[in-house]
Formats: sequence, structure tokens, C-alpha cells
Amino acid sequence: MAASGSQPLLAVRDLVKVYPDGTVALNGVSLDFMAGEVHVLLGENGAGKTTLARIIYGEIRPTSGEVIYEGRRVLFRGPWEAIRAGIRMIYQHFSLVGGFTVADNIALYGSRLGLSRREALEAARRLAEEYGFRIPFDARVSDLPAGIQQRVEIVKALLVEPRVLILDEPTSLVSPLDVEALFRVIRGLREKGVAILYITHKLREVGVIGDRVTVMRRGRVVATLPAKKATVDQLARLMIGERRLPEEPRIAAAGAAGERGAALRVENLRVVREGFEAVRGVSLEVRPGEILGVTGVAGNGQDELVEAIVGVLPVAGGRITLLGRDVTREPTWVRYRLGLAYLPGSRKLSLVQEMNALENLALGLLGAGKLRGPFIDWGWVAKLLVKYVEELGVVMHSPYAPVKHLSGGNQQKLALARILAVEPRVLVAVDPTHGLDIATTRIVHSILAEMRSRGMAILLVSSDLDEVLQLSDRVAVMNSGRIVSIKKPHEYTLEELGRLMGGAA
Amino acid sequence: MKPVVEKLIGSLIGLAAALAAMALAFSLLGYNPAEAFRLLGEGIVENYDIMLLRVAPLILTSLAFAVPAFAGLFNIGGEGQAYVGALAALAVSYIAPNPVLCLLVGALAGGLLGYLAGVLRVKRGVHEVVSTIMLNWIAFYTVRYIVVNYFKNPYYPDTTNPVPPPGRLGQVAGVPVVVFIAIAACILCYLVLYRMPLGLAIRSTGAGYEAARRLGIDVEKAMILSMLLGGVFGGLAGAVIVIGETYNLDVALSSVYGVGFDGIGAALLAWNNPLAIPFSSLLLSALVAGGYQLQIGMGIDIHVLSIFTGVVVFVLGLPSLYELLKPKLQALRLAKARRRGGGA
Amino acid sequence: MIGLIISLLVVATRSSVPLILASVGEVVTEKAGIVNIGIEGFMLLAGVVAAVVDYATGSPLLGLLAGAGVGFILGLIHGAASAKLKANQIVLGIGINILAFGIGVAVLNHVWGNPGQSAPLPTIPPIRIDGYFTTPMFLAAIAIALAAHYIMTRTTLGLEISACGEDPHSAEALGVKVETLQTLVTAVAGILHGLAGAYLVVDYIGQFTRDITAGRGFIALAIVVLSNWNTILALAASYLLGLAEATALNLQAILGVPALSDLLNTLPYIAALVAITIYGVKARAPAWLGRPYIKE
Repeated sequence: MAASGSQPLLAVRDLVKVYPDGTVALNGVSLDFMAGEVHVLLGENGAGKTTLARIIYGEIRPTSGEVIYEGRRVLFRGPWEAIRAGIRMIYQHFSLVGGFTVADNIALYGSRLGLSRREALEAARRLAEEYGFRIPFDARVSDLPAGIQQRVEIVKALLVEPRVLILDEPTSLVSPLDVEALFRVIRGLREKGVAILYITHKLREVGVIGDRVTVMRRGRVVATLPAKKATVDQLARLMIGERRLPEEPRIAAAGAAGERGAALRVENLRVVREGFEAVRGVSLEVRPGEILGVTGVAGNGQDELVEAIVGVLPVAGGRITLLGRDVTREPTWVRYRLGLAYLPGSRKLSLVQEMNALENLALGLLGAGKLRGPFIDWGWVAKLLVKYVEELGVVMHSPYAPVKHLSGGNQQKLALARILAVEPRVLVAVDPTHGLDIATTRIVHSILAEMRSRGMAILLVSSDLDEVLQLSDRVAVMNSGRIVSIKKPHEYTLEELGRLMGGAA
Repeated sequence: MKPVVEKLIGSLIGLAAALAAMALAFSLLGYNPAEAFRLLGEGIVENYDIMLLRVAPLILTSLAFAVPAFAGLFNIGGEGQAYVGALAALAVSYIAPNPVLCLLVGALAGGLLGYLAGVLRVKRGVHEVVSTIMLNWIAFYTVRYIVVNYFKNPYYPDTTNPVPPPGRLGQVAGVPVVVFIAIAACILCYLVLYRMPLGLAIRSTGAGYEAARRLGIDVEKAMILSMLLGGVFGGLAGAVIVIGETYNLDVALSSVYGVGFDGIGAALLAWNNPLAIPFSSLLLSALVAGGYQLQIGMGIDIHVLSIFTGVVVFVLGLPSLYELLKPKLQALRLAKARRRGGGA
Repeated sequence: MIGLIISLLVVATRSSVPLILASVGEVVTEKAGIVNIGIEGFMLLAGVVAAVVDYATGSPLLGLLAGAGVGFILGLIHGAASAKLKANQIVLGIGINILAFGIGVAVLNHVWGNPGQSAPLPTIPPIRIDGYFTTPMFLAAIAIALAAHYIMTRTTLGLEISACGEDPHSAEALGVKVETLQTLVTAVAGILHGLAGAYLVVDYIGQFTRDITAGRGFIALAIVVLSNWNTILALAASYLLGLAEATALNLQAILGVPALSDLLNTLPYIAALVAITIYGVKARAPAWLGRPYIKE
């Protein structure tokens, strides 16, 4: 660690990454990482933090720019080369082979470092003991809670001491106790001169674990500051950027909402996915004529909450009531028959990609139980389609071509058409404008507002803060599987939202 | 789904590969391939009646494979469904020699077998390929047991008592009635798949299971019903053989044996399209008709033709040439675009 | 009675060999993420080639070797088409099965002039233990199963293979050449399928018939699920289903009612289907089984 004073152990210069779909994830990023320093990368979703880490780790190639490691320009062909060179990464969603036992995972990883199975397991046991981790080596990884999985990841990454350790959102899925243990490990490694790249969206962690902090937004570096001196409010503002909060309270449908009961009620819902409790006791209500926005940094349980509400994921505890009926154990199609509609966040799931626009519209009608009679009246479906195509301005060459060939915006309009056509009473919509251009975003927003004014109850789950604040009557913030706050949009301040999303409230 | 032209090219490649494989097989076995193909062609002309008789069950076993395939399932049980369909039709004909009733009961028997496999898949996670093959063998031995022990013809011990004449279906204008039934089944299938809600549900389940269930489609019901429907057509295939073609079964079930697997070939050749299936089935049954000539003229057993079907299936399981080239084409296009962009 | 049971247990050592070989091979293939529905076809083609070689040379061992070779080549084809070309693995397998049946008949036709069966062939000499006859291939099959178990559970290679079937992206990140490994594993497992088919011809049955495999390839697929993708349990399940076959055979002999023989023949298939229905739900398939692995 002789050179740790001045020369960076690892540096990136002018990194640009454009994904094949045209997304610019990194737009000229240059950063230095020193030995014996914890460098925090802070940013919202899509800021480019993870892309940066994956490039350093050799998982993806940059479009341009370079990575300099130990004074030399490097281009790893894959993570295994980075691992051999002394760079380790701990992923947000862990890179363990879920179907393997802990021991098998460690043995396979160890073999990449030239360790025999026995050596790798001995090293792992020693490390576990050193850090006071209790690890069940013979258990299947997918059966273990996230906290233990993370300990396995840590032990695995440290089998042979690394020179650089990258941690991607390491605390997003684990309990506070696990976080304490993790921080002890990180501090220990810093003492030993390891360069640590710590990726997070959690503001509070910056001061606790970081030496320096770099804030990223939309593929660019916004600022690099000494971590101890940065305040939470300052960081929140840098991370979220400048936006306007709605000034007036929304009155549109609130009056009507109060009179009737909730259209959708979720009580103390718990959802366990792959051994991990992703939703930890969520309760909420959506009333007719109301949009309840749910926001938070991606991966805080929103996906699981939604998929449980619509009946795709099984529920571990709690109750879901749809229009007065307990549907906790009912399959999705039964909930649809009762008046639910679902607009998934992934475009691939909001329409059947291999089928055409007409068929997708008919599927919407079928799902809602509105396709009566032994034969489908395709002429009627076509008329409906034409109506919505004109109303929403869908651009398509033919109603008989698979919708996968359509642009994201046109697909989303069609997905909304299939929902409009059946007039559901409850809509669950996830990231409805993700990846869309401004004009289409406006159309989608006006459709949602229109649906609300017609008395629909809408649960809008989105990680786009502007969208949620602009559209919702009430906004709930999710963090670590819980709803940490529900208020009207104008009652929040930016700093407060940033803190809540960052789990620092 | 791919465009029609691409599918047609895929099928033609499959056929060409199968013909080449046959030629290779003939020459390896020491026959003159040209002579063999001449005999095959001759046989198609000479035995066009056999061709017409074989096409009906073949169409039906193709449907047996195709309908579940639309739901993303592989019904390899057309064979077993045909065995039980044949037996059920035969049994009914002894009691009530009415062809319609015989066909209905045969279809029902096959349908039950398909339904069983569908339920096992959806409720118990038993893969349909394994369950339908097990059911094929169980059906084969059980049917043979009943044929040998209960239905044996005292005068011709290798066969069963024949279907009483009132239970038989004959010909209309030189075309077996069962051919019309099979074609009607294709049209029915088309209507179910493309005009009825059930078909929409079935097709969406196969085209995008995860999306379909999020659109409120009862995908489990679609899967089970697709297997039931496939089984119905498989059972009907066996029934038309007994009621419209052979009027009996032999103790080796040789008139039914293999028809389920040939149906898979015909279905894949037609890309599971129920309106294309009559043509692909006609092609394969023509091959069978020609095969008899081959058997007589050169002593080559008819089952050798499975080589043809097998290669057709294998080649259609491979990604098409276009799909293999697609990433390369895309890369090329991207590179070109980038060059143009860089130059500007 | 005890004599009967012992004789059943001994006959099962012979009837279980093809199931052991085929299911152990398939466990390993599926662990690597490739599903091979064409085992039946592998066995048939290997069997017919083994028959020809045995017939021509008079050496059942050479026949066995030839069968292994055929299995390897077929495995290479299926593996490469599945892993590298991302073919539809199930359709490929169905094609191989149908094709193999046709080739089997063609060869029978050509060599023995009989499309149904070959002449009786020289067989591998049995081992005689206390008046009972078994086959050395049973011991070989057990040894192969144990070796496969050792490789899959104790070696890095085994971990790499399993990683291909569980999580090919992670495997690739650790430097495993997923497609190549999947191809090779399918080919090597093909050797076992080939041995299974050849064994039927040059040992168990002693001749080749056009439907000699009688669904054993598919019973092996059922065993794979029953074993929960574990080679030792596959060995045990194979033996039990071999016992079902032996019981059917013995009951036919004891009851002396030939009429019932067909009903008894259904026993192994029913046993497999019932077992998989009851225990299959708990089985956990490799996460990427049968799914084409497409790199980023």
C-alpha cells in the first residue's frame, strides 16, 4: 500500500456506455479510487452507478473510455479476470447460484482463485469465525434469508484478500443488524488498504461509512465531496436534482372518495420471494376516484407488493380485499373478473408480445369476462381498436402484426386501450411512462387522470418521483418492504422525500 | 409468429433435408435412390386409395399435437390416445353399430387420456412429455390385452371381430367419408383457435404465459382444455381407422401403430396451422402410399419412412437459417449505421 | 417364496441396467441445463449399430463399444444444436426418436431381411453367483453411477456443470464456457445412453428388435425427476423400476396365464407414472433446464 497517498489504485477515465437499445447509461465519467478509502457512489435509479461498477468488474464493455488499475490500462474479458486480478464485487441481488449449497458456491468461486475445495472452505470458515458470522454451509442458498446470503457473498469475496471491493446497494435487502456486521467488515478492510467502492441510494450511509462521496445523476458525476462534511439535505438535493413540487393540494376527486369505502384494501401484507421477505406488513387503501401513488427506490418491495395484489405471487400473510371481497387466495383471473386491471411495469408483460393488436385487445376483454358468446365478434373488436387507435394516437402499420414490433410508446397506448375498453374499477399500474418520450408520457398521464375522474381506483407504483407527485392524490413511500409514509403530495418537502426514499427518516 | 414465407421456407428446407436423408439411407442400404424414388412416386399414383385412407387419421393426430402446442405443451400422446380411441370405437360398434356414436365415444376416450396428462401437468407438475409417453405404453398393452382376450375373431385369430356393417363409414364419390370428418375437424379446430374465446386463451398461454396470466387469462384452464381437445382428436384418429378404414384391429395394433408420431411430423411441417395440416398430412400419407410400392418392389419395410418424418421433425426443431443469421445481420446493420453516423 | 424374491431381485439387476445408465446420463445432462427427450432414439440407434457390429465380428464387447460411440456422436449433435444453435430441445428429441426407429427398421431390413427383429446374437457371458445369473454390466453401471456422483458432488468440474444448468450467467461470469461444456456433457452422457441401448442388444435381450427400447428412455426421464436430479437416487429408482419389470416378467412365468402378460407389461409404466405423480411435485429441476441460454 506504498502508493496509497497519491496514486489512485483504480481509476476510470471518460467512460461512456450506450446500451444496444440506445439508453445512455454513462456519459463521460471519470473517477479515482484510492487504496484504504471508502468511496461512496450515490444516486437514484438509472444514475449509472451499477453500470460503472459492472464495467470495472469486466461484466460489460464500455462504449468508450478506459479503466486504469494499478497504473495500467485494463480491459477484462469477464469478471473471472477481474477476480483473479484482485477485484471483487458484491451485487445487490447477489451472484450466488441459488440452487447450490453455500459450500458449493464457495468451492466454485474458490476454484477461480486457484483454491481447492478444502482450502476454500477452510478459508471461508476462518473468515466466518473472524467476523462472527454463523453460516450454514450445507444449506441451499435459495432457502436462506438475504442477510445470510450476503454474509456468504462477503466471505466468498474475501476468500483471498482483494485489492478492490465493489459493493452494489449492499444494504437494500438486509436488516439493520446485518448492516452493522457489514460495516464492521468494510472498516476492517479499509484498515488493510483495500479500495472500496460503495454504491448506494441511502443518504444516511454516506456519512457513516464513506470517506468520499460522488453523487451521480443521469450518467454524469454531479459532485464529489468529503463524505463526513456533506449533510443529508445537501446530498438529497444533489441526488434528486431540481424539480418542482405541486403547490396546490389536489381536490379533484377527493370529495367523492370520502363517501364510499375502499375499492382495494391491503392489510398487513407480507410477501416472501426466494426466501426473502420482500414485503413486510404493508397496509393501504385505494378509494374509488383516487390515485394512490407508491414510490421508492427500485427493489424496496414494490414489485412484490404489486404482484401479490394482482395474484401472481403468493401471499405469506395478511389480507387483500377487492371491492369488498377477500381475494387473498384467488388467482389473477378471478380478480380480473371482479373488476381489477393490471398494467405491469415490464412492457413484455403488459401485452402478449407475439400476438397482434386485435388479439391483445380481445384478450383484455376476455380477461375482464366481457367476451360473451361462443364466437368472438372480431368486427366489433376491430371497431373498438380503431376507436382507441384514433383516440390515443397509436401509430401502427397493421393490426395483424405482432405488437413486439411496435415502439414502447405505442405498446403502452395499446395496453391502456385494453384497460380502457373494459372499464375496470381498480387499476394497478407500474411505471406507466418508463422509457417513453415526453409527448407519450403526457398522453398516458392524461389517460390516468381521466380514469380517476371516472371513478376508478388507481394504485400507481412508480419510481419516477415527478410522475407520482404530479398525479397522485396521496403518496406512499416504500423502503425496505414497508410503507414509511403516506401523505398528500404537497405535504412533502423534497428533502423529506429524499430522506424517506433513502431510509433516513 | 413468423411470417408465412419464412415458415414455408423452413418447411421446404425440412422436406429437402428429409429427402436427402432418404436418398442417403437408400444408397447406404445398397438400393438405387433414383429407382426407389421412382417406385415411391409410382406408389402414390397406384395406391392413391391408401393415401386417402391414411390421410384422415394422420390429420387428426396432427391436430392432437398442434392444439396443445398452441398452449405451449407437447402432446406426444397422440399415439396412445389413438389406441384407446380405436378400441372404444370398436367396442361401441359391437353394442350399438352407429358410426357417429362410435366416433364420439372414441373421441371421448382419447380426450380423457389427454385430460389426465393436462391435469397432471397443471396440478402436479408432471411434464406432459413423460406422462403421455407412459400413457402411450399403458394404452398399448391394455388395448392389446383386450383385443387379444375379448375381441378376437375366431376365424382369423390375428384380428378382432369386424365392425358390424351398419357401424362402418364407406366412401362418397371415391373419397372415404372419414377424410371429410378429418377436414371438418381441421376447420373446427381453426374456428376454436381463432374465432372462439377458448382458442384465444389457449394461444395466448403458449405465446406468452407470463403476460397472459397478468392479463387475467385462466392459463391453467387453457392448458388443461388444450390437452383435452388434443386428446379428443387423437382418440378420433383411432376411431376413424376402425370405423372408416380397417373395420377391425389386429393383435399387433399395426394399423394404428406409429400414426401418433407421424402426426407430430405433419403438424410441425404445417407449423401447427390447422388449415395447413391437411396438406402436410396428405404429403406424409402419400409417402406411406408410395411406401407400400417400395415394400413390394424392393422389399424395403414401410416403417423405414420414419427416417423421413424424423428428419423433418429434427430440422424443424432447429432454428431457421434466418434466425441463425439474424444477430449477424443486425450487427452488420448497426456497424453500417455507426459508420455512417461517424462520417457525418 | 424367499427363493422367488431372491430371483426377482436378481432379475432386476439385469433389467435395471439400461435404466441406470440412461437415467444417470440424463441426470448429468439436465444438471447442465440440457434436456434430452431423445434418449429412446439414442438407445435404438446405438442398439442397432451394436447389433450389426456384434453380428459381423461375433464380439458383443465390440458391439457395446460401437453403441457407446454412436451415443457420443448423437450427444454431440444434440448438445451442439441445443447449446450453440439454441434449437428447440424437445422437438429435436422427438425427431431423433422417430428417425432412429426408421433407421432401426431399415438396418433390420437390410442386414437380416426382417423388419421386425434380428437373428439371435452372441451375448456378454453372465456372472453366475450361487445358481443365479447376473450381468457384469450391472456392476459397470453401478460403478459409472458412483463415478458420476463423485464428479458431480466432489469436483470443480461437477460444480461447473451444475452451474450451467442453475445459473448460466453466473457460470459464464466465473469463466465457465457454458455452451461448450453443455455440448460436451450431452455428448459424454450420450455414451451412457448408447451403452444402455447396446446392452439391451448384446446382453439383456440377445437380439435387436425394432421396439426393443419399449419406452425405457422415457422411464429414464421419469426416474430423473424422481431422483430429484441426484445420481445415487437415480440408481436406486432405476433398480426399483427394474424390479417392477422383473416382477411383471416373473408373474407372467409363474401365473402361466399368457393372457395376462400384456396387462403385467404395463406395470413399469404405471409404476413410473404413479411415482412421478406422487413425488414429482417435491422435485426441484435445475433452474435453467431446457431454456436456451442467450448471452447478453
